[in-house]
Amino acid sequence: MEKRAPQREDDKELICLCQGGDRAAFERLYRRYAQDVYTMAMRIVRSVELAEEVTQEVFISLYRDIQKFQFQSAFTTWLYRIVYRRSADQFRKIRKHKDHTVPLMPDDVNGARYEAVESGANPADQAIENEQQEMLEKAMDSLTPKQRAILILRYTHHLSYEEIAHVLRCRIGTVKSRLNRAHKMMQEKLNQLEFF
Amino acid sequence: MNTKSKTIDEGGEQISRDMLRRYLEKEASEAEREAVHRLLRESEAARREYVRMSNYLTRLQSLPSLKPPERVWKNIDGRIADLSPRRVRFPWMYAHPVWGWAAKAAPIILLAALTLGLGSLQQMEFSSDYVVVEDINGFRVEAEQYAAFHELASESPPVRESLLAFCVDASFE
Repeated sequence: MEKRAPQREDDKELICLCQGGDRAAFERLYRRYAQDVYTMAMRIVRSVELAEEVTQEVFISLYRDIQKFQFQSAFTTWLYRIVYRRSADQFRKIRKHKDHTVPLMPDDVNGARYEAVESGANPADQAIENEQQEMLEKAMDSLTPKQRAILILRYTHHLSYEEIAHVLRCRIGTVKSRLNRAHKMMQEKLNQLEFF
Repeated sequence: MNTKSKTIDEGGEQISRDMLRRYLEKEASEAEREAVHRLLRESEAARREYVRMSNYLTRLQSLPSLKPPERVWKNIDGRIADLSPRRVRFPWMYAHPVWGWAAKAAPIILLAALTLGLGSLQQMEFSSDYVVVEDINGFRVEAEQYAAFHELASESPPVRESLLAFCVDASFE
């Protein structure tokens, strides 16, 4: 799979304006990337409240530290690294307070609070799509946050193995083996749900 | 066909989902591609599995993008109103991870050098970097432009030379 997210040509200009403290430019940057950030956070933390908190923290951190971005990598790779770290921070906080694994709230993902962007398919196709999407979401619940992050970076944000390794600060081989494991777990769960 | 197994077996022929996924993602080896092609020609079970795996990957890639509620921006806007971007004193430190690691490692190296009595560390370290710049002098102009852009003129000569050496090394080779 070599599909890659298109690089936005005017990112550099927008980021330079933000580095100069232009708040209007920062709002434009937010409008451009908020959906990507929120989607990634939501799929990792599996809760609307936590995803909103992660999104806020990511953009506040971005605003404060944007001068650290020196255009040596793709902006998105840098941004997703922050999202991943902030999501991990949220998990650590929850673990500390609840002394347990993270409670997943599938209703947040599958139910009415799931404010997805319209896909534009016809109603019959949409019904099948929704049913299969629901199965995929349930299967994703069976994964660890790190495995979910890898799936999202690979299939939603279309990052290469190298870019994922950069975001997660691990080796390419580790990314591949974690991705294989994630697929196996997904498929086991999807077998139970009769997706396959 | 046993849908719960990792491989689909029909008449002794097996096709694994992992291999099919690699095939569909164009990551399969030549031998694996040949095996998939043969099974797709000969096995009904393999063809069914191919359709299922293809559908699974398509669905995975088309999971919807989610839009954050407007209150998220309002909260951010409220919180950044009193903030200003942190001024980065040494932007070159963030230009490449090497500089970040180097900055963290510097005190340890310095301590080690002092402990071992290597008083001439500065001369030893930076002179070797300086040679790199001189050796590929053809790139000196670009390196100088980089230095001017990043306002390195105020840095001490050894630091500046090592930065130039790094940028020649990393960017222009």
